[in-house]
Amino acid sequence: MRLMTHNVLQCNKKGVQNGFPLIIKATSMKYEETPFDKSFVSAMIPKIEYHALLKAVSEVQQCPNIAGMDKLGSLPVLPLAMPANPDEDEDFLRRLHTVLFDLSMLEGELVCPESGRVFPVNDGIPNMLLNDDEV
Amino acid sequence: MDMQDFLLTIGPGGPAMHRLVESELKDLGAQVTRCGQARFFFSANARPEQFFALRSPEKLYLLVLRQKAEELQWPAGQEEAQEHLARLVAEADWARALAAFRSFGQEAPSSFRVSGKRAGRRAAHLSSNGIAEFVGEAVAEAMGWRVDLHDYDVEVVVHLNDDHLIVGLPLLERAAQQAQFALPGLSQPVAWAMARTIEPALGELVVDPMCGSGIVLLEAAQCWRGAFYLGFEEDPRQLERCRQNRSLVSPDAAASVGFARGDARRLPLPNSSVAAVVCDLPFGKQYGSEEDNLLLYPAALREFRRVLRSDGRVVLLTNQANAATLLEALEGWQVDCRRKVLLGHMEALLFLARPSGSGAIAEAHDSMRLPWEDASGRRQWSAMKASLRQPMRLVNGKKCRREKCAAGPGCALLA
Repeated sequence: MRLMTHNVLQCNKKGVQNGFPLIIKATSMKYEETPFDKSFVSAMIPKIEYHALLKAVSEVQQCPNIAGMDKLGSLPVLPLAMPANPDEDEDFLRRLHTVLFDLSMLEGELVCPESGRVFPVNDGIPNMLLNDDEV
Repeated sequence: MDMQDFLLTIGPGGPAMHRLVESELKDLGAQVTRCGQARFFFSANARPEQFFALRSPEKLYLLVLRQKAEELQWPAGQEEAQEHLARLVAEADWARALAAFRSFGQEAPSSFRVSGKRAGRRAAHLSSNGIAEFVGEAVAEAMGWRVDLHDYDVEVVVHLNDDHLIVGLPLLERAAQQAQFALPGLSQPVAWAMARTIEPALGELVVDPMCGSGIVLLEAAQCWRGAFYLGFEEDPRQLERCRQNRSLVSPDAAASVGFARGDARRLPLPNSSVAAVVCDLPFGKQYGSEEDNLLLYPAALREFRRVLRSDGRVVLLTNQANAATLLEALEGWQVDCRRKVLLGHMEALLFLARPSGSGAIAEAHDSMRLPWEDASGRRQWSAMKASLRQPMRLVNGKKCRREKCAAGPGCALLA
């Protein structure tokens, strides 16, 4: 699961008012470089919940095992606020690309920030199914 | 660049594909000298970037030599015939072909290999393997190049058949082959047509809530870059197929597609967050039953409406047996189009609809055409798909991919 996917998922369990963003508890992740496409990344900016992405990156930092991390060196640092003109800031767009598309969670859990409901992630696929009594 | 001879090859697509080639070559100012079912010979002196932009070819070759079979006289003895062919190839106008080769951003080659192919009745005493060997020797001597079967700078393709002798250098190829999925689950052209009907735009989130093997989204991701695609599926075996199929598309297309286990009736998404929903709905054969669909379709459509933006759209496929159920579930939607599609022998229907605020149902009539189709209908799809793909890139390979192409397709233009 890429962080772009994480950035749109939320917990819709019955009674939950604010199931976003899901807390990332990753035991295994991987870094894999994909071609940087400037127009794609800038087009996704309006879709991105930036505060949720910053939170996700800080949670990813806790992951003990990120395969391929030697190629990246360290996780890109994103500014605390979105730059005023992100489209013209290629350095920022490249960091954003790395965070959104090149880091994926393989194993671990996503946790609802309100209810604590746990959604397991196995083989890179989050299981977002709810039980009948949760809907 | 001076006038230069080329050969391009195309994939299947019938007369519509031929029309696409012809119109592209006309825009190039090219003169077609000969065309067959899957190949076009032509001369042109356009700029390299115009060739990169061609959508119809699978591959483009620079022609070093083309001679009609009837102009060639082959000595009866095998050795003499070999020498004759070697001399023809070695004495071709290499300087002109290599000038064109370099104008595309390729370096002057220092290593090469020959691929030989002989077919037909003429010159039957020459074998394909033999051609590679003795033509290789002659070219090595004439050009001063080193033979390297694996890490070569240029490939020299020699074809000899009853029509002609051609010597060509593969120049451009598709950056990514359109993936042939191992387990598509749905006919690939229909999956592509569903994606075409959505026509995803830059920055949009496109969701397939019952994505099966994932191919509608993967077809979309290959043609419409710049959107993000998210597929949900309940069945873990299907999700495994999604992952396998995703591994067959180019890395940049694959990066724009995510999959999660989820229920189409309760999507883990916020309200009004999705630009388009696309879905091959269960027909109640492999999954569930037609009776189940009486509950599933309305529940799913309610959920689609919740997650869709007010200006969103849905493209849904079902079969005739479930069409009435779907139409009922679409009450309050604006149905823009309803097109019959044959899946093998089964008649299916493709619906394009919008969550209309007015609640008025425009009575849509069955139509044989989607809004983007012209009068030739399904026969046109392959050519349209080809016309929407990514630009070509330089062949050769290993070196190009390793060093130059990290920037992505078309990067050779920058190099």
